[in-house]
Amino acid sequence: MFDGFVNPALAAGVALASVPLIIHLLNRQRYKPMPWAAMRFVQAAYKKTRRRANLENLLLLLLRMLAVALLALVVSRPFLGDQSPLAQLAQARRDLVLVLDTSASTGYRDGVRSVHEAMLERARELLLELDGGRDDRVRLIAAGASPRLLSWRRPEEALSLLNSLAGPDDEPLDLALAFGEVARLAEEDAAQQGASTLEIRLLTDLQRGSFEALPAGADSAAKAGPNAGVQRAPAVVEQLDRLAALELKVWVEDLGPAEPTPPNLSISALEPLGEVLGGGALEVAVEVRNHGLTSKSGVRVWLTLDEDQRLPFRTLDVPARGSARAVFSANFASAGPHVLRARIDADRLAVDDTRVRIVDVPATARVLLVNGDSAAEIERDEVGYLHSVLDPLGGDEVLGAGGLPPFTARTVAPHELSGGEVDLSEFDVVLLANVDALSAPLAEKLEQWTAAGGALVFTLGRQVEPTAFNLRLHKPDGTGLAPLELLSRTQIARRDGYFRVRSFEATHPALAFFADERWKPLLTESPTYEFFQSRPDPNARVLAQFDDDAASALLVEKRYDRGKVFVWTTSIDAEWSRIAESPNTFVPLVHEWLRYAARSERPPRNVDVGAPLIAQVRAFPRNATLLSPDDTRRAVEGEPRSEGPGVWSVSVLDGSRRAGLYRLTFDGAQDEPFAVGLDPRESDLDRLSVNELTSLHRTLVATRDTPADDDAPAPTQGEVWRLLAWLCLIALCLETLWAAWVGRTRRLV
Amino acid sequence: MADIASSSLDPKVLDRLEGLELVARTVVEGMLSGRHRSPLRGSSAEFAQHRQYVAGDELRRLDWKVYARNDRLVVKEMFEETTLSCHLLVDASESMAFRSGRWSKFDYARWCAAALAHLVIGARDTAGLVLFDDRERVKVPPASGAPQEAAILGALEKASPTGPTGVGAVLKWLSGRLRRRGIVVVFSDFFDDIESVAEGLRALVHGGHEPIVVQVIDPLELSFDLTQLARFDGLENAGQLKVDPRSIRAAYLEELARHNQQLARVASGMGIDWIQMNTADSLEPALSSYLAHRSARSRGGRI
Repeated sequence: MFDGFVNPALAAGVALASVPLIIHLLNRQRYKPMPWAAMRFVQAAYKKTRRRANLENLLLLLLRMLAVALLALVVSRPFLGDQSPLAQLAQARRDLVLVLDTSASTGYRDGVRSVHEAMLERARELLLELDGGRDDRVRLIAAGASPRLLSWRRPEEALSLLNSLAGPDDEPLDLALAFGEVARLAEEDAAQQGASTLEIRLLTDLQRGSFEALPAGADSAAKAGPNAGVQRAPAVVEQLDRLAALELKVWVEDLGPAEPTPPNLSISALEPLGEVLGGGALEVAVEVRNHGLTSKSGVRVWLTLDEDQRLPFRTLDVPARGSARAVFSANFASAGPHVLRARIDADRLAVDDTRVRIVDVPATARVLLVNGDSAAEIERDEVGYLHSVLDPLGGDEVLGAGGLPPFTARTVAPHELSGGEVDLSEFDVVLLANVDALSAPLAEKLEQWTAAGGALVFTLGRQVEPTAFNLRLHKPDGTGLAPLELLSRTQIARRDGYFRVRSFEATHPALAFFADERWKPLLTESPTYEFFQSRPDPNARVLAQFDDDAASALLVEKRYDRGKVFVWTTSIDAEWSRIAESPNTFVPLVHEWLRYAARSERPPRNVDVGAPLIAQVRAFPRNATLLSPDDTRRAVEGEPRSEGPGVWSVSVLDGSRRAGLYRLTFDGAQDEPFAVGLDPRESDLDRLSVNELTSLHRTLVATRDTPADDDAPAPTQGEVWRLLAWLCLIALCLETLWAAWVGRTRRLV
Repeated sequence: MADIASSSLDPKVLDRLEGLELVARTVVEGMLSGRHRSPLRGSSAEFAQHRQYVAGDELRRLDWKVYARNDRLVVKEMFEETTLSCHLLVDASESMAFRSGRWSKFDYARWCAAALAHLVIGARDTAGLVLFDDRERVKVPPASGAPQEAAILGALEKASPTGPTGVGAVLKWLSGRLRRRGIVVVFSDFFDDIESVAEGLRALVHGGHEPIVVQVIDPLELSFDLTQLARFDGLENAGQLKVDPRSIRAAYLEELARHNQQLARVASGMGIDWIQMNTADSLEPALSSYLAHRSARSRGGRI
């Protein structure tokens, strides 16, 4: 009779309809014995009234049982499918899932209002069609990078929540996640009621990028439409297949602009060209992309440094569906984070007309050179060449005009280091060049310093004794300071040849310079005559290898807590290798290597919308506050985390919903800026056509009208609890009236 | 005086009295108090006429005053002598044992009968008693005097209501066996076939008797005011029935009323007094009726 129940467990209450019957049967046991003389009259009266009295009592009993049964049915809320013979009596309750595309592209202003505003208006229209009194339900989902279920019950609640959606998010639309959420709701619905009758509507601007994606999507039942070239994202297809399995459709309402490819210019990239060095000019490229079908000329591009230094604008001609780049020259007088802001004239989609980037200008790397074999002549001094490469002007003058020197170097003797005359906290890199055995206290000191974030470099030579080195610095389990175990020395007479660098990690920052085929021979062809063979630890990284039979390591790196340790298995001077004698090799090698070594790992400052913002500071961060691009402030919740001695991190996991410049401020510490960037794909407003949409998957139906347009309407289920409630009420009234009538007629004598 | 009279006829009062003799005396005194003289006279000797003396007439009937005046021998002719006979027929079947209060219909009937016996014998009339169920069970032949009253009261005291009802049959049977014509007061609930009762009464009337029908009914039988589900256990093995009394009340009262109406019609058709007495009510109606009949009869007439 019924297709199911909303509250199936309560349907068992129908069994309580037997209670009046049981009471009736129990009462039949309670007859009072009554000796009676005038029995003939009792019998005559009984004979006369038996039939009528039985009917009266039976009707009362049935009415009572009916009322109880109806009440149980009312609370269990049965529903009827549209195939049921009683379907006409059911209230076809609507169960709507309304998915709103709140991605950044819906901020496009088409005429007076934006696509987002048009969507909200349409959503209101749809919600107003619902009737909470009829128990219509609506699940309102805001779909951006991740779907948010805003409301899951009453239409009135959803309507009031619509007002809270002030504008689109700066996120792209992840349709797979959105449909995945819808599929989950539909499957829950189907599990409860046997079949899902959800009416699913997607209000969107039909941005092609949201629907298309990676190749090799597979929907085995998909139609081969005229636009077979449109690729379907596998994840989206998978979710749509789940909906198809439940025989559900997705009614896609296109609220985007009329043009298939609306015009739009965006700043698609803002990045420094080349590595950011301390000091000197930095070239910054601003890429402007034209997503429209007509070229744009005379597009003005501005670049601002640190929010107050506006560079003269550039003018670009940007071809249709193409991009152009403007290059600016920026100078940063100080180390630390700097804000770059690029801008073009605002158009109909304003959010992509500006882009921010944080550039971290590295501070001068402070290098301590521990000279294990000093000499008067620079050529013979262990660190002679090294020091001159790092600090060619001796620190007296700044390198270049207005720039920061990349390094400062100080050379000390080993005993100065051992004697505690040197404060290691003043240095970023400590390079022990051909130093003999270290004392235990010094080794421990170096361990602590490295673990706190320092970079320790060992270059070898005659002074180094493998046994002592291994004893003090290496541990078999790989937890020691040294990344390798030193073995014996290998040498070759100069007249007999030399060792070369056979291979190196070209992607490693320390050696990336030599990846260019033009500079590669500078490293690979530099002769080395002597080196230590070694056995690198499993957790160490061999960055370069010689061409001997054992492919011995030349340069090995290991992470040591927050710091780094390197071992250069030959000498850094010219005694064992001629690398130091070749400035073309030595200078880039040392600069890149030590610059990399000195760089402290920190969380990124340039992130995408939705990514967490993590700041690392060197003082305890009190009263952390997040300042957003719209100038709103909020206190950051959660405790700071200790990352090591004197280093703390503060995380804001949900702060970056908008693109732009954020700042984390602290009491007594420097602000930490972040640049949250819009996904450049959101700027391409190219839209799917209706045919392309429907060819993507059989569940997708393009409509601007009601689902009645479809010739296969979705199955509906209607509830009948109201009707049953009325019947229950009528039964109770009838029972009351009938009982009163019977009682009255039996009393009126 | 009237209050004392009414209260002494009140069953509640009578129920508290020990012994029928006391009951009888209480009732009668209550009945008679307030009246200046007994309504009852002794055997009446009312002069009717003179006639010539013929041999064999009783000499005591000679009117000597007429002889003295006229030298004629004449006798007085009187109206028939009204030494009344009162037959008390009391239904002692099991149905008379029904009670809804402290006394049963039988108790009530025997109080009435005892009071009447006392009244009748006190008036130097004769009274007799028959206790019956579906046949005569106990008989005290009519007589007068204190011993007779004691015998009647004793029989009433000892009796207990058992056995089936057969009023009509018993009346018919008794009609041929009551030697002296007189007033026959029948105390019963008359829960019997009307035709049979009518036949019995007819037989009594044809036998020259003056029946007075006193139907004794319990107030509960009259009202049928029962609200609880009941299992009616019929007295005299009349069967059992489980029923909601409320559902049959109207029909029951209708049946009872129809039966009583038929009974009243039958009685009235024969010129018989039919008195329905509720055992909660005063005994007076029964006694008053008797007295009315007694008075009529003593004048040589009937009611």
